[in-house]
Amino acid sequence: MAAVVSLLVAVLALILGLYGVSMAFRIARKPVDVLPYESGSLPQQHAFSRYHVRWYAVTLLFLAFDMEMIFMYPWAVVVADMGASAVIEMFGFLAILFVGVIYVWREGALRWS
Amino acid sequence: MLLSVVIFLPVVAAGMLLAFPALSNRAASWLWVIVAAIDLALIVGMWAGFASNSAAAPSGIVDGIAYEVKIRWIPTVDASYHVGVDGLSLPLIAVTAVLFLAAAIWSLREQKRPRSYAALFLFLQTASIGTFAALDLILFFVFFDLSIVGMYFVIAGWGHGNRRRSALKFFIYTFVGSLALLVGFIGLFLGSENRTFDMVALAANPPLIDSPLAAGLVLLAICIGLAVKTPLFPFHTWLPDAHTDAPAAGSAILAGVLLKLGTYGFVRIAMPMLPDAWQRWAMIIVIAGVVSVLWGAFTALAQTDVKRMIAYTSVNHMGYILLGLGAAGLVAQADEQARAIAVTGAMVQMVSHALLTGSLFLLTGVLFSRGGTYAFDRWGGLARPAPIFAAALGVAAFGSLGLPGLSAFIAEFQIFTGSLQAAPVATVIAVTGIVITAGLFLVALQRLLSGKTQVPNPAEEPANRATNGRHAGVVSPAEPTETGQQPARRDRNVTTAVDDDTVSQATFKDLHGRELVATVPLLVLSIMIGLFPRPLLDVIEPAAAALSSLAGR
Amino acid sequence: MTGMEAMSANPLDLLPEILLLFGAVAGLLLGLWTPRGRQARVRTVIVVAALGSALAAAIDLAQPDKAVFDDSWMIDTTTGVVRITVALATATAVLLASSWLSGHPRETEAYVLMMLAALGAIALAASNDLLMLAASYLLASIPLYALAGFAKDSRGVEATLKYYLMGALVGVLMLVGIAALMLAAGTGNYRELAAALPQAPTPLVALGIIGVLAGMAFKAGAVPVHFWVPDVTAGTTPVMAAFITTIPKLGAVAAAFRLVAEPFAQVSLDVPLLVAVIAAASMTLGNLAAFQQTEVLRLLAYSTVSQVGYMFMVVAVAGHSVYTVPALSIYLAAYAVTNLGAFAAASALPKAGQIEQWANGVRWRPWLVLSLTVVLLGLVGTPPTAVFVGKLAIFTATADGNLIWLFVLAAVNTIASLFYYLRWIAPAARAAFAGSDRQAGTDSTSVPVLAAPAVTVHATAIASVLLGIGAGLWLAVIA
Repeated sequence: MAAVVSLLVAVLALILGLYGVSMAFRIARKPVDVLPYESGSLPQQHAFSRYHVRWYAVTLLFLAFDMEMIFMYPWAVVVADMGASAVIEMFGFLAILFVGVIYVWREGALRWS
Repeated sequence: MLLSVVIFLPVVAAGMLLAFPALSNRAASWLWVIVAAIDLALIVGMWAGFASNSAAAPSGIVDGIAYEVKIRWIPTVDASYHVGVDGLSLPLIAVTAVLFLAAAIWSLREQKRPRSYAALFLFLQTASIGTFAALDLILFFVFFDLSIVGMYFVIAGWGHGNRRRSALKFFIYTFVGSLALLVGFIGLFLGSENRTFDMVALAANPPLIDSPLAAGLVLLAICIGLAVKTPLFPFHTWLPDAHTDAPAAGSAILAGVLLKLGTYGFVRIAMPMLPDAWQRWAMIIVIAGVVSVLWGAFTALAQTDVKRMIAYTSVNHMGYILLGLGAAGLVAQADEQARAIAVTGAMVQMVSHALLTGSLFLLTGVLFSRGGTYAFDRWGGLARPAPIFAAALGVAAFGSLGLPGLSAFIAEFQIFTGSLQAAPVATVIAVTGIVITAGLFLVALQRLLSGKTQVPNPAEEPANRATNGRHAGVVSPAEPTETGQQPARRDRNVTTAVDDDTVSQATFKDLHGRELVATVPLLVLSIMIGLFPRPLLDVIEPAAAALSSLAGR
Repeated sequence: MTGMEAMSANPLDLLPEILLLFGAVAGLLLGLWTPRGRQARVRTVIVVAALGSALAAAIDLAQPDKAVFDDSWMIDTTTGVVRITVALATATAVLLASSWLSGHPRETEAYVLMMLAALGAIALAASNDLLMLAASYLLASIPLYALAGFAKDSRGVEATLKYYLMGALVGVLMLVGIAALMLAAGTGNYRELAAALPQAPTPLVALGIIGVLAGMAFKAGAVPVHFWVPDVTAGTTPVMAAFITTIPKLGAVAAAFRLVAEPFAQVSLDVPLLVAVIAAASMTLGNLAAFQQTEVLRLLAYSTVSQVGYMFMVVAVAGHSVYTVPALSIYLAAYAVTNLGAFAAASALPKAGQIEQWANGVRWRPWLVLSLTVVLLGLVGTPPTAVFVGKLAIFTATADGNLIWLFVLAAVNTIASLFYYLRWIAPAARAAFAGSDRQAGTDSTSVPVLAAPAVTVHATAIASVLLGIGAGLWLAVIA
């Protein structure tokens, strides 16, 4: 019993201590209540701002490669057993995917200026 | 092979007409005449070959088919391009060719798009001959439907009055009929033992023998399909409109050939393939025939329009055919011979009606080209200015009412003789139809030919105003003196009553040139059949006997 | 998969599909380095690839039926027919579309999307596994969403949105259905489903069948998921409407046929009745709705709905009659030819939305009206056109499969359909006749008739008649 109580008190003291430290060192009294979502950096604009349309193209490109990875993981496990046919299939798949990349590139979606 | 040439020669010529637009309109019209003449000549040659053949082999509907060609078409359902002629189809093919030649000669002076007109008629000729020659249900249906399409455009494109409505009505009625027919054909196919659409095989081994209900329903579908085309009461309502608004040559073909497709369907399909059902329902067929006889006759009596009247007499005449065919199914009441006579009569009636009604419609075309109307009350006393026209009309009318010495007499006499034993009451009632027809034709002749000469002015006719005087325009280049001068010479008097001979002769020109060449041979043929029926009966009788024994199985 | 004969995984079995894919990829690459004015060469590559695919499929027909790639891809008569028809129809549609796309900034992309959609349609027909079916559904759908709104006008965008939302909804239903069936049977393979489904819990199977059939009905444009058809057809450009209403239908009907004939054949539910009701509703509602239309494209849209009804008749009796496979084979080909012709007629005068405008536009073109008449009467089923033979075969199969009521209803519907086709033929014929009456008159209001679609109308009219006359030959080739 005593052990449990002492553990609780210790945890409580730690939590209160952290709050205390936080209060002691805080810059503003009221924190920002809309938290940044872009990996921690503060948003420069409000959330409904417009993106350049290019962003969507890049997203799609990213998704294509993402899905390709999903396909490649199981492939990597069995490729040794399946042999040449599996290699040909995968490279055929990659070739078509690559045509997609070339298309995106030719269309100027990767030009970043 | 010869038969295929006969069938497809017209449509090939039609294709050539359309493919060479450099051909002048006149040349197109003449090409049509030439092709129709060649086709007729080939058929006459076929007839000669057939007649010599038939002495040896029976010219029935199961065996004895001459000029047979069979090429597989849709093997999965055993449909094939199977054509041939026998005693049932050959007379009808021949009369078809005769009528188309008459229509071609009649239309030599057609002014309105003569090239397309000729092409359309040639197409129709292929469809009609093909239907008569077909020995496969699907092939029959194909040609049957094509004839509807062709006729629709003839009426819609070259008719007068309310032509589009009439054409549409014709198309929809007959299309509904043809679909009922198709349903019936599929029923026959599914009911047949070997699953075939071949008419010869189906007639040899009738389908649905052991399921009377299904056979009855299939017969109902087929009968509705054919009754619309024939037409029988109560499916006839498209007929007067289509006839009235069709051009003269179109009416002649419609009445002379296309109506026969319906009656021919009864003898070719319904009777030999569903003998059981035909016998069971023969009384209904007889009654339908008699009702059509009377309805057609009485309605014709009430008409005020020459062309409508003739159209209704067609309903009447088709009724006789059904009476004969129905009587052939009454096996219990009549012996084999009487039934064969009834079928023979019905077949002769088909040929005879084609010739007589064809010529009657062409003759009413004369009225329309001269005066722009068919109304009885606008015409009168035509015998004086136009004796040849009067004589021709008289012969055609008397032939149509069944005067001995003309073809219709041979037909109707045999129908009544053959049916009397099987269905005495119905036959007696039907004979009264003859009396009414006689009366109405005499009244018509009296109204048109005797009395004061009365000729309407085409430009003033309501039918013409509806089509912007196009038909007056059709005639005017041929007879510039009449139509061109009339409005100037006479004031706004619509009808012109004349006593003076010289003036009236100038007003109503008698039959001449192409009109004469087109109509008179039809009447001569009718008289020939009336006086010397043997050559025709030699071909028909064996087939009719075979048919009545098939239907009596 | 144990106990089965060794499954073939020979890529040559998929040569027709590979050629289509190759055509799409090669066309895309070529188009990237081709100036806008000279994109005709892309068209050539695409058309050659499609024709090559059809040829390869025709050669492949001689081989016996086989299931390849782990039993997921069935190569039989139905697949062969869909392969040939889709490839040829796509080639025709590409040539037809050139009238509108020529000089378009995204010309290549349109052709590539058409090829991919065609590939999807073939995959639908060949699928022998539910998961394959789901993938094919997506492949056959997504390119079409893009094509529907290709003109980027407001009607097109609206059409795309409707098409997409409806497609997504039905796609989800289909996936639920597939999940249910796989849950019930433990497999997605058709052959194994056929064995497992009769023992599976009925509610699950019912849910699955309804979901999967809904997907096929959507792709085919059948009632009750037909609402996109008129909006997409009238909203997109006529050439794209021709493609959208022709190619995916072929694959979807074949896929539904395979489903009903194989995995759903033995289940305790009355699947044929369900399909028959879909067929009856499609043809009847399609016809009734078509009566009201005054727009050429909307009229054709409802006409395609009713046509799907006829095609589903043969699906309803799948496996119950020996005539079904030939009937399906002839009708799919006949429908593709005739429907492309009808839409080509609409594409010839893309500015003429209303029937009257169209009729006025062909005042000087009696030949075009003649071909239109052949095509439209062909859709009714007038002999000797191809659809007549198709309808004959389908009616026969339906009556043979003992669905007499459906057979009679279809005959009645055929008559009804005549009315609205005549509503287009009659004014056109009138205008053409009236036009040739006045030989010398000049009509300044006449709209130009586009050449490529006009040629397509003539070609399809001729092809329709030839296919009708040569139906035996076609059936002999595929059998």
